[in-house]
Amino acid sequence: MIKTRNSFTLLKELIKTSFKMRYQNSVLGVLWVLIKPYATFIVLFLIWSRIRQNDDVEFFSLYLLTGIIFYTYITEMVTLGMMSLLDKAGIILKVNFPRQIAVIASQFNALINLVINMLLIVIFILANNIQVTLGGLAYFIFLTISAFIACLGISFFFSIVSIRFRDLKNIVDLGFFLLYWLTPIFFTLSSFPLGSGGVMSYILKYNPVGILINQVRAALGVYGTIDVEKGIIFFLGSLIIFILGWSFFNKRIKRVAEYF
Amino acid sequence: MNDIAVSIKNLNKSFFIADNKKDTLRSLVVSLFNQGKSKPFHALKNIHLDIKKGEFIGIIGRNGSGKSTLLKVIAGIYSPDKGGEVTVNGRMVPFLELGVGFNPELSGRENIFLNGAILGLTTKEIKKRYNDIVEFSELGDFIHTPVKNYSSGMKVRLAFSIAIQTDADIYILDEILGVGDGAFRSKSIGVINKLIEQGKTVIYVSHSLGSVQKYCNRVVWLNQGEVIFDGDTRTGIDQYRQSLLEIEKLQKAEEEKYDRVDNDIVVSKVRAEIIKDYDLSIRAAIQNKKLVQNYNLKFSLTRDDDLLIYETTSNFSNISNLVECDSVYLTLKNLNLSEGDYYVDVAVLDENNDKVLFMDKRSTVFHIERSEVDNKDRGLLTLDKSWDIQKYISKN
Repeated sequence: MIKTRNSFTLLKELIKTSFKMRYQNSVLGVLWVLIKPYATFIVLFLIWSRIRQNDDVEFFSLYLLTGIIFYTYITEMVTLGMMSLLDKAGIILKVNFPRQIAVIASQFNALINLVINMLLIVIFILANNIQVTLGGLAYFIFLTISAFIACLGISFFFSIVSIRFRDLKNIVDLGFFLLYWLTPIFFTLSSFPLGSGGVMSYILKYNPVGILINQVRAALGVYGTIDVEKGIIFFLGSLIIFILGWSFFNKRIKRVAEYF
Repeated sequence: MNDIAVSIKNLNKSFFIADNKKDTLRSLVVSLFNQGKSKPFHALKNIHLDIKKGEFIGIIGRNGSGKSTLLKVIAGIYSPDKGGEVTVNGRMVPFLELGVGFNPELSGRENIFLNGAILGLTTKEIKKRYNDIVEFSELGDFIHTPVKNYSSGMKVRLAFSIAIQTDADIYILDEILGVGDGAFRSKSIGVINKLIEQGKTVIYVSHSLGSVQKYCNRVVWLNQGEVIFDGDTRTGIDQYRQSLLEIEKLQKAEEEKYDRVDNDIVVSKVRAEIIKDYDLSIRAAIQNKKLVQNYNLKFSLTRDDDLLIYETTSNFSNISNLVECDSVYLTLKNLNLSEGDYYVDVAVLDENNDKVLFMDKRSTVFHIERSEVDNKDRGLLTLDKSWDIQKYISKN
């Protein structure tokens, strides 16, 4: 059908435009995609490589880098997705194009940033002489896609809610700021005495972003072991979030133009 | 059924206007304790419209009458209230605004692809039409510079050029005819005319009654969300003009606290009509309540910028058969004015023409239309002309 083909064109053009716009008129341009996580990495590395003790991390630089890059990936997907309809208000009020495209395009922009950042990870993997197995690579792709599906579902939900409820952006920003400290990005779960129980240990243990990041590390042979069961539960959870977000979006989108 | 392009049945559209917007947490919490129900605003009321293929339909009405809402419902941006139905047969392209989604930082070329995609084209289709778009826009090498460096005229030209290349069956135009300078305008109007010849459907909203009259073969007049006229363009526009005038007069009367009841003699129902392109016929009703013996009538023609064009006073002597109601007719021949809107003022004077018994400014309005050929000429009048050129033969 013509309509689906146009949707692809539109998706392509929207991704292209926002990619171009993001680093328009900046001297370093696309390099900024690398600079931000890498600068965070350097600071955390300098501090934590001295403080950390008694952990079982062999490749700390890669442990840290994968944590930072995947956490950034999740944050970008959700924040860009949340603002995707509001940012396109001017077009939405004038042309009836499939609104889903605007949300999906924002997710691809985050994915592109992840792919660029993966180059750094590849360099570190080669430098540390880590052997990534074919199965590990497949598991890594499976995890990345699962995360994409989950964030897309959340974005579908948030993009609608944020139109009427503008506080959402601040709430999400705060949420991600707090989650940062509850996710094993620079520390390991094993360095905490989890056996004591309590709310904190519970959150640390079942934080889905933490589970994702640790499985990614395992898939790349950086740290820990692959637990396919966790991966599959994560994927199924992502699928449920996606279906919920998608149906919420489709129910509300028809009237969305009235609320801008 | 197959010749219907857009079918609108039982269309209602209401918006809920909350007294206080609940888009922040604070106002949400406040509103929980202070529940004021939002009142619905009915922007469109019970609209039934069948737009046939090949129709050039004009939608007129005052600001806030629901024109834009109607267009947005047809374009699928707003959805109708429950029970209403809008069916569109064929590919529709809405131009509620030219250059939707234009990105000022991107070049004209990049914007063609972006805007084309937004308007429903595929990359292949845009590539195929790219040269035509650039050529029509007359941008030349500027197509590679960022749109932010364009003049507003250039931007409009580019946007219009993309818009007309979308190859739709139904076009929705909101005030976008006649953009750009004179040369581009006539070029774009040529394209629109071609669209009509090809049997495309155009839905056109404009405040410029002249252009609606010129292009549309059907007119829909909206007032406060309701269709109050649907049919012949000429009749619709005349009625609409008349109502605008009456509203204006009402406002004026209110301002001046002007009371007509005291007048001994009143002129009403003034109508002016152009016959055979160059003759004007004015008629009016006279209510002679006190049976004033002798009076004279004065009619003045003014252009919409208050320029006096002609004024004439009658020279009635001894009006016999005094009755309470009279009709008066005035015919003006060879009124070779240029295209535009003109007004008729009316006054009643006493027999010596020095006391004003009654006066009414802008009693009626009429529109003069001239053909395309005459249109290129400018000025107050449209004159009969003939050009002649004689060769100068040198004596050597």
